[in-house]
Amino acid sequence: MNSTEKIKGLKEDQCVVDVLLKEVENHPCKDCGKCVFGYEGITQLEMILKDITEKKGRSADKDLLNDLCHMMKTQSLCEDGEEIADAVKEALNTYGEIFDEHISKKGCRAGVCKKFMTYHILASKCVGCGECMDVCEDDAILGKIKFVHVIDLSECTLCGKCMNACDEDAIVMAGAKKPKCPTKPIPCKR
Amino acid sequence: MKIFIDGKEIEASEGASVLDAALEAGVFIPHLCSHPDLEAKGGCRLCSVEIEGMEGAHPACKTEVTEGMKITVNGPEAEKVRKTAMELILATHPADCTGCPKYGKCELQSMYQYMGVSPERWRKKSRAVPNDESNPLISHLFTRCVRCGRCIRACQEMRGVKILDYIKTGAGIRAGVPDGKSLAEAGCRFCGACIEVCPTGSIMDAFNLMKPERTYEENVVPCRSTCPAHIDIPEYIRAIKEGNFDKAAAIIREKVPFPETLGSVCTRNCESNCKRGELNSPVSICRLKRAAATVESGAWKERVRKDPATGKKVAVIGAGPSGLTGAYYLAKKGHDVTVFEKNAKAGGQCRYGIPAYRLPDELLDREISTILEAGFELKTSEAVEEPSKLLDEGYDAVLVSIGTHQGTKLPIDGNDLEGVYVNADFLKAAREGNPLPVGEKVMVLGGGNVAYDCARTAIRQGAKEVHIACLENLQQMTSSEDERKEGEEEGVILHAAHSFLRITGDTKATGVELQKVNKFYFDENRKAIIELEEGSNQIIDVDNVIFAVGQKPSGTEKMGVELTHGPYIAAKDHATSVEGIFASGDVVTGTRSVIEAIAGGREAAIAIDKYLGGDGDISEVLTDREAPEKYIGRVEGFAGLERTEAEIMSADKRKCGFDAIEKPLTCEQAKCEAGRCLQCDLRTTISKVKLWNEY
Repeated sequence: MNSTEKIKGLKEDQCVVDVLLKEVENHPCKDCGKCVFGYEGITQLEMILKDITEKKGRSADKDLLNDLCHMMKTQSLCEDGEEIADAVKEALNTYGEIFDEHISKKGCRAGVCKKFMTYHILASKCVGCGECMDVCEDDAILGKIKFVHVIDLSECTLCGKCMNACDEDAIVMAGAKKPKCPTKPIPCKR
Repeated sequence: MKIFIDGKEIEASEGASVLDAALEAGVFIPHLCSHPDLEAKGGCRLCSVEIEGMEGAHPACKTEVTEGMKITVNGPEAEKVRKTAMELILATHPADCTGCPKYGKCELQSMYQYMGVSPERWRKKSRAVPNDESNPLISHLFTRCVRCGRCIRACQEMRGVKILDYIKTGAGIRAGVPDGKSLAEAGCRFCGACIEVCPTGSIMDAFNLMKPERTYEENVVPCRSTCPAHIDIPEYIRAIKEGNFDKAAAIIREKVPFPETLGSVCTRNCESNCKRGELNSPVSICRLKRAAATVESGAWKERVRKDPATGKKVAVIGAGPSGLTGAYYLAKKGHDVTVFEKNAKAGGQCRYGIPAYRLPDELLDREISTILEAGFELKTSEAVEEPSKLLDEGYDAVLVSIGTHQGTKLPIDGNDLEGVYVNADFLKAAREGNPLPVGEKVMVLGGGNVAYDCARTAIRQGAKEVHIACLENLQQMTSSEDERKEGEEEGVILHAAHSFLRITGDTKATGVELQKVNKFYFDENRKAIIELEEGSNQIIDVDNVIFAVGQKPSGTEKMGVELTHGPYIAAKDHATSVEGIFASGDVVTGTRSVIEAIAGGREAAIAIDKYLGGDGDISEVLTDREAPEKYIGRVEGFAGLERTEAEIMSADKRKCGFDAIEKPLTCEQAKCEAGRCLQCDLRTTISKVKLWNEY
C-alpha cells in the first residue's frame, strides 16, 4: 500500500499526522539526496509534521506543507518525491481539521500523539500508597497516604513514570475524552 | 537556431540546453548543480524558467532548445520554484558565511545574495559532520555540502576515478567516500577536480598548502610556480609517462638550455614544493629531467627561434650558466653575441665549482656545444675587466655574469698557515687537473653543499680522514640530506654545531680547535648569536684546512658600476648603474643555484633585447601540446607508490676517483616514476564558473 492509500484507508484510532510522519520517516527520498525538492522537501516535511505531532505546530504550517507539496510534485527528479507529495495533499484535503486541531493545540482526536495526552489517577482504583508521588520528578502529584492522589496537569511533563510505578493500574492516559477525577486529594474509598 | 529569452533574440546551437545557450550569450540564469564541464542533472532547480506553450516551471539545464523557443527567466512560476529551492538549500546549510574559508568565492553565497532570499519560513537544521582534515592535500568539510553532486560527477565521469559518491551518514546524505575509507585507501589520484568544481567550501585544498603570497594557480601547481625558470613540469612529466622523451626534453628546453646539468645538480625547489611529498615523497622531478635529456634525439632543434639579425652587438662577460643562457637567448633574438670567459673552459661554477663526480666534463661539453648552436662566439681565456671598454669598442650592450669565484676565509688565528685552502681554489684546482695537495687528515669548515663538495673531493684526492665542522646543527645545515648521507657513506666525519676557534700550527696547519655550540641563531637585527658550551674545547689534528664559508665576486670594484653589500653588482631589472651594462647571476644575487642563474640569464636577455629595441619576447614553442587526458582512472594504492631512486655507485668505488657516481634513470624507471605525478595542473583546465556579477 502506498502512502496515499494509507491516508485514504485511515481508521478512527489512527491520527493522520502521525501516520503521515511515519510514512515520511521511512521514505526513500531520505536516502537519496540527488534533488533539492526530494531531499530537502522530505527533510522539511519530517520536521514540520514532527512539530505538529509534538504540539509545536505553527499557524503557517498548513500553507507551508501545501506549497512544498505542490513543488515536490512538479519538481522532484523521480516518482518517489511525487508520491509522498500526493499523500500529504490527500491528508491536508481530507483531514484539514485534524491538522488545525493539532496546530491550535486543541488536541489529537485519535489519542495517538503523546504530547496531546494527559495523565489521570482514577479515584476508584487509587489506594493512596504514595508510589507515584515518589517517582514523579516534577512534583506534579498531590496527595498523602490513604488519600486519592491527583495529578497537577500544569506541572505534569508527560514523562509516564508514575504510570509504570502504580501497581493498582490507577493511572490512565487520556486524549480528547478525559475521565472524571477529583480536583484535590480526597480520602480513599478502598 | 534562434531562441528568445525575455524577448531578446539569441543564437543557440542545436542540441544545446537553454541554460548553456543563455550563459553562452551572456544572459544569466541562476544555477548551482550544473557545471559547464559536467553533465546536467537538474537536481537544484535554481535554473527554472518558463517556456511558452509549456505549463509550469522547467529546469533550463535539462531543456533542449528548439527553433523559436520563447523563454521567460523570471516568470511567477519559475521564480517561485527557484526561490523555494534556494530557501530549502539554505535551511540546512550553516548560516555563518563569514567563518567559511570559501567566503567571497562561494557560488552558493553569490547566488543567494543575487536572489535575495532567506530560509526564515522553513524549519532550520544544520547537518553537522566533523571536518576531516586527515588527508594532507584535500580537506573534507562536509557540513557545507549541498548535495549538488558536482564533485561526484567530476570524480566518476570526468576523471573515472570513481571514489566519491552519495553516502548515507547519521547526519543524512552527502558526498563522500563510501565504506568509511580514506581517500588514500580508496585509490584517489589527488587530481583535485572535486575541489575545483565544489561550489561551496565542502572540499578544499588543505589550508597550509595555500600560501597567501602566491596566486591561486601558483598554489595549485607549486612545482611550476616555485621553479625559478617556471619549467612546465607537469607537462614534461606527463610526456615521460607516455614514453615521449623527445617531447619532454622539448618542453624543458622551452625554458632552460641546460636540462642535463639541471637534471644532475639542481637545488630542486620544485621537489620541496611537490604535493606528492605530502603523501609520501616528492616526484623525482630533477632526475626525470636528466632521463629525458639523456635520451632525447634533438627533435626540438627544428623549431628553435631564430629571429632575423638586428645588427646589434652584445658582449657577455662570463660563460657560466647565467651568461651562456643570456647569450643563447640574445643570439636567438638576432643579436650578434660574443661571450668572454676568463677561464680556459666555459661553464662557470658548473665547470670549476661543482666536482666532476656530480657533473662530468663530457656532460658539460655536450650541453655547451648544443647551446653554441644558437650562433654566438665564445672566447675563452679572455678576461674583461672593464665592461665599459666593450661599449667603447662598439658593443651595444654588455651583460656581466662573472659569478662568485673568490672563496672567503674567516678571521681566525692561523687562517694564513700553509695547508689552509679556500673552497673555490680547492675545487677549481681539482677540476683543472692540478689538485692542491692534501695530507692524511683534512678539516672542512662550513655546513653547505660546497663543504661536502670539498670534503668528498679531498677523499678522492687520497685523504684518509676528512672532517666537516659547522656552527649549524643538523636541522639548520643548508647542505642537502642526500649530500650528508653520501658524504657519511664515504667516511666524512661531521661535527655539526661546533665553532672553530683557531687553526693550530707554527708555519703549517696542524689542527683545528673546536668548541661545542649550544645555541646558534640570528637575532632580530640579523646578528649571529652563538652560545658556546664551557669546557667542550678539543683540538682535532689535521694536515689541511679548507674554508667553505661562502664565496664572493672578484674584480667588480674595477668595473665602474654601482656595487651593493660589498662586491656585488647593484642591478634593477638586470640593468646596472651604467647605461648599456647589465648583470645577472651570482654576481648580483650572491651565490645561489644553477637554476636561479639560468632564470636570471633569461630575464637579462629579455631586458637587453628590450634595451636594444626588441620586444623582449624570448618564448619558444618546441613541441606540440595536446590537451591532457582528463579521464585518468583509479589506481589502487596510488598514494603509497614509492619514489624511484637512480642507481648510485657504491661508496667504496665512489671514493676512488672522479667518475660520475649516479646513473640516469632508465626509460622504464622514468616512465614508472612519472606515473607517480598527481598532475596538479589538470584541474586548471576545468572551466571556471562565472558568478552572476561577471555576466
